Amino acid sequence: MNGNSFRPPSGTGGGENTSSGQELEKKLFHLKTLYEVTRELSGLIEVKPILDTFLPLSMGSLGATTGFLILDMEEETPRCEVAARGVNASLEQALCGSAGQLSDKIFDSMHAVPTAEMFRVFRGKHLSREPLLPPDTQLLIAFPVGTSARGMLGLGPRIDQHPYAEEDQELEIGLVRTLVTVLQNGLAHEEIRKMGQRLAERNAELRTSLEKMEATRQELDQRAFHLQQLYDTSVELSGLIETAPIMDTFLLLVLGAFAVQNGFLLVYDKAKDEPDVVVRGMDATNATTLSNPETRSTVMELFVSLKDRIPHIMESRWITDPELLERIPCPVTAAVLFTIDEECRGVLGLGLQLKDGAFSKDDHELMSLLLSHFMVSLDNARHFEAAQRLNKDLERRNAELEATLKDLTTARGEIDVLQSAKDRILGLVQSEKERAGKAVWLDFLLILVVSVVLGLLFNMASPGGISLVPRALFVTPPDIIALERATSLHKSGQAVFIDARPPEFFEQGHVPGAVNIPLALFDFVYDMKLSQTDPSTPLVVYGRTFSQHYDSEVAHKLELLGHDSVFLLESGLEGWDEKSHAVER
Amino acid sequence: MKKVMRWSGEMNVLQTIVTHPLLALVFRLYLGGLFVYAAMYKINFTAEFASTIASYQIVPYFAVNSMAVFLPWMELLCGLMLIVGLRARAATLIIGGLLVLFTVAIVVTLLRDLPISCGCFHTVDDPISWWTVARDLTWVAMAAHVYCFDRLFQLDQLFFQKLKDVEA
Repeated sequence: MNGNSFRPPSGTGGGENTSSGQELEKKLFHLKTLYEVTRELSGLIEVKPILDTFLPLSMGSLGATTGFLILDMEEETPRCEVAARGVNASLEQALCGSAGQLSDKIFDSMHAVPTAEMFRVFRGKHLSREPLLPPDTQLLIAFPVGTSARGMLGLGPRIDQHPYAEEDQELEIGLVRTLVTVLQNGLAHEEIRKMGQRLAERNAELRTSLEKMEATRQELDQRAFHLQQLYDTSVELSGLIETAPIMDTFLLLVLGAFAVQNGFLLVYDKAKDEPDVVVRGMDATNATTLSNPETRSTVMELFVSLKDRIPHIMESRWITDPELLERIPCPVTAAVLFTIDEECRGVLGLGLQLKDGAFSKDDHELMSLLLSHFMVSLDNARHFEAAQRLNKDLERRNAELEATLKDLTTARGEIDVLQSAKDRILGLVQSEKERAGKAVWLDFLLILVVSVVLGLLFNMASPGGISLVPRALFVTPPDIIALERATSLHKSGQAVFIDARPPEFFEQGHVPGAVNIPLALFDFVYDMKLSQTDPSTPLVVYGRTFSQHYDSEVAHKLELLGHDSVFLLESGLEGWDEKSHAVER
Repeated sequence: MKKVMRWSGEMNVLQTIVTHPLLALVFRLYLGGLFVYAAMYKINFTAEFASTIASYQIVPYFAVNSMAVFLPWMELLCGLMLIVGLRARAATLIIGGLLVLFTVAIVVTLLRDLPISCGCFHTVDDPISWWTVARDLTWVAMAAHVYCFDRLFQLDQLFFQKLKDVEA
């Protein structure tokens, strides 16, 4: 469907007087209509009322029986407003649905932005064939409203059934132009309203965000404060290793952190007889009261009263029940029970607050954190004290051990000496035991030596002692007479033959005529037989054995007695016998 | 069978008697006393003993006097040791050795037919004969018995017992 582009009338004047009078009346009518429409529409800023107000005016100005006015708005959410007169409800609803399609169809391109000058006017009965339009539409004016809306005014047949003329079209166009202006204002208002609404919403959001920010800031401030308190507590407590300074420092920190005027800290350790008490801002009687055994019982009862809420190791619990707080002997507004381990528990009592209001949840949280630090530090201090005690004990034991070790070392040395002595003795015993059972060369040697010594001593001391070596070895032996000469002397009887052997040997055999003068009986037999003999008489002595040189001994004795010629018989009796000389038996 | 068992029983009794330490003690005391007695004479009459030794014509002449001086003391010492039971085994061995020596000397002398006396206890009235040999051999047997079986009343035992106590 092609529409003619509309150009506003250039205001051509002239014509016949009648026609000019009619023209003037028409123009006046048009102007009045415009004025009326403008007047009716002024003050309206809502789209629907504008449409609802304009449509009847527009219809009324031309006497249309039916009419519709569509405004298709392409906003963030597409919206369509419809005003209709003389159209049934279903058609009215369908118009809204087909508004977009219709406006796309009317305007050349969906993508072209319709300008304010681009009105599309369609006039004629052929419009009834358009399926998107109500069936009796005879005049259709499509108009853009700004850049975001497109409107369509459709008029049905006139009352007088006359078709719409050019001037009717112009009138409507003028009216529509007014409508457009009002609609633009309305849309602008609406836009502004929406903007204002959005602004208000944004403001509300901003306010909410600001409030949240403020709350977050406050929370951050509080967190920072908590962290600062924790840091301060850590710094203060980290350098301390003794219980009393830790407790004192902590109580001071807590009173400052929570803006409390006075308070106390009480710790019960089973390893100690007395509790550890620190008091600030309270008089001395309170400290004394807190140290009493009754207070200990009271505090333990408080622990028990918590039942399943009793603080476990390294935990703390606030006492919120006023009845329980009243049991504490000192006036307190709050108390916190804490447990370090099975043997160490305590209570922190807080007195009058310097600020109004009860302790908040954040205060509870902060207290819990601070107490955790405190409990760790106190536990370390307890362990340190225990370690010191153990060290002292250890030092004492070490000293004792060293002394014992020294004694043991000395004893060990003695034992080693005794052990080696014992081993030696046992070895000696063993060897002696073995030796005792058998005869050893030492025995023989000992016996021999003792025998020799005793023999020598007795021989020397005894008057009957003999020389160990035969004397004959040291004296000059007598001359030896040859056998032949001795034989001749024997035959001539010039010599006396002396047998120096013992009588038993003499009786066995001797030189005939020989005199037996045994060495053992020399003195006796000499006196008997040779004392009267001439000393110059040759004496031939014989008689020697392997074991005894009787002849040498007797010959020596004879010489000592003054005999000059004493001879030893060469080769003795054996030689005499071999010479087959006679031997008396 | 009964005869065999009785015979073995009798042998056991005999063996017990023969190897009894009490018998060894008797022999030990006898031999000890014998040698002490024999030594007393020889010590007092050294010269006569020397001539007795010489009469055997076994010991070289330069050693006769020395032997006459030392041998009796050895006999005395060994005899005393036997009596008290001190180093009895060593003493028994020496005495046994001496007896063997004497026995050999007597046998040699008898074979040589030398007219000498034993000189064991006296110079006179003690001519040697094969009975002397038998007698000496008996003493040698006694000495052997003492060496093998003697263990009673020894002076060593006093110390020996203490050694055992110490070792325990």
